[in-house]
Amino acid sequence: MFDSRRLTIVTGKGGVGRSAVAAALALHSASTKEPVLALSMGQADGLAQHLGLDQASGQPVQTSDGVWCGAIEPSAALTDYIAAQTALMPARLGGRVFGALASTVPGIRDIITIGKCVHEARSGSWSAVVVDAAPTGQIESFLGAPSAVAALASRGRIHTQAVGLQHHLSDPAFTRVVTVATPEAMALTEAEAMIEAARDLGIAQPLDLLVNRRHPEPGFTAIPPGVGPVRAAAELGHALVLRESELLSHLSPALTLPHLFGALAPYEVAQRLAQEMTL
Amino acid sequence: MKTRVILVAGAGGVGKTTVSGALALAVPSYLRPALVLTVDPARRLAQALGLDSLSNEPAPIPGRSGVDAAMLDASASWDALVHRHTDQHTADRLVSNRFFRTIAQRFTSGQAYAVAEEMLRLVEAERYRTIIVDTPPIGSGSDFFNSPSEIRTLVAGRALRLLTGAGLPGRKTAYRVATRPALRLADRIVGGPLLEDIGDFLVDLRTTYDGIYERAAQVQGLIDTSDLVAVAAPHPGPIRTVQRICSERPDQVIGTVLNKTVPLEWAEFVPATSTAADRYFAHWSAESAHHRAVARELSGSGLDPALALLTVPEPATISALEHLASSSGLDALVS
Repeated sequence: MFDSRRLTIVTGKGGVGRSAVAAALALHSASTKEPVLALSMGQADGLAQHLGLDQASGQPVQTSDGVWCGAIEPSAALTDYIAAQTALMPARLGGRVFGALASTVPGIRDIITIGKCVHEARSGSWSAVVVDAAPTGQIESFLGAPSAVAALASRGRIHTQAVGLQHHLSDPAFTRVVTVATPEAMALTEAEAMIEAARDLGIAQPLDLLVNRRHPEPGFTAIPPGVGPVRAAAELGHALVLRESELLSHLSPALTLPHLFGALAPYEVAQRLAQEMTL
Repeated sequence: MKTRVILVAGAGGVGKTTVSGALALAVPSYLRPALVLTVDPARRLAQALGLDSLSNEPAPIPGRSGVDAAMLDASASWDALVHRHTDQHTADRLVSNRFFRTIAQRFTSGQAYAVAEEMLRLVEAERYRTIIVDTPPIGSGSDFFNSPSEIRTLVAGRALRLLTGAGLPGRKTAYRVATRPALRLADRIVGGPLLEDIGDFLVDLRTTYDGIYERAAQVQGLIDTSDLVAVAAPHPGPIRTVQRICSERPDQVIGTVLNKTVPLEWAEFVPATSTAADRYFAHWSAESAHHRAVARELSGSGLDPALALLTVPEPATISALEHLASSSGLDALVS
């Protein structure tokens, strides 16, 4: 159901299962065409664990399903970036200055990170790149960094780079942004705000809304008589389904994934969700 | 009066705001007046507490004497911060620096720090015996708990020194590529005009240094000595976050909460029959067993978690919040 565009960026507020969904999207892509690169940002290990690894590092590691998993380490990415800029110049002292700038100016860091994602997607090494984007409440600023920095830095190389990145982010044939939300009021409100903001930023339209952890219909209508856990669970299940349907009634998610009951290892969760995607 | 501060911490989406509201309403009369402070931009806490909206200024919760609520406007916080710590002239110039606007939006540490500074201000005002703080989610890019240190680093001017060399130059003399070859790379990458703006910004920001540096140390002190309630929901990320909080600040944690659970007795109940409802129940029984295992895992950090049940809808009224506090045992944490 999902076509494989070169770059998929998975966003969503913390707590909605973004890493699990990103892992599942990578697995699903790989089932059609390998190899797929799954990237996480920073130190969070969620994505790696959902792909069966303890943790991810700067060097992508192959998992067992045609998916390679790596992490974008900000300092390594910064060093690579500086090295790329200084082919003809001594980088040591200049690098420290620029490093100080990058740590002061969050937009610059974001450019470098996005640059790495786009670079991998364009490299031809992967049939698809899936990015588990950092769960900042400021994801709009992250995706908006290229156009903001392009506006701020009217001269300088970073301007050209920012313009180039913005071009790729706004090209729907190249980039897809998926926003994950659970069927809860707060998560959906934030997802809708995110979709709204991305529209203003000119990010590749349309944005896909992916609803995760939707409770299944109980499969019977008559609430059992008496008291006790069976009745209570039936009431809870029906109430959840009703509530979630209300919350989702005005939305058109590209995909809805089910709540998975019971204890499952992260790897199993991603596998199950990936199976749901082929249905 | 001696103010007790309780910080409510945890990953995003676990129900911190709900727990904060419940804790505030459960504060006994002899420990009031109480305040709940939130940065939750969605007006849910305001709605739940029956207020039209929340503002920076604490407002009393209707029908509950001695309990107030306030919401800090994160977007205005950088402006306020700057005006508080430097002269009017420099402050005005700073907030109109185009680079400042960008940083104010992006630099989430600034917002987190502004909340923390406000918290200290309220403690010093001695208006409340108990303050419950709904902190920004951990793992969302802004680390409330380290924000004072980050702010100190920003204003201490290391970036400025690297840009301008040793000493504190005046504005507009801050940056000369010709005399500072080390700037050439930065100049080539970001361009002269932006570099100048950054230089001006950092020079002006440097004037806030004395005020903020000292104040941030006090704020960090308050954060490091306040009581902590760590909140999780039964998912790997939030659980890991609570375990990390408990291991990093063991002396501060007074309780943990596992939110959105189902009754743990369901794990042991086996229906005698095999109707459709009984078969459906098996899913929830498995869920209950999972939550039981999670609760045990959290107990391993030293404290048995208070268990808050999953409800439909989520607690969205004063009485629902009060029921949450009493049924989960949360109220014991504030007495």
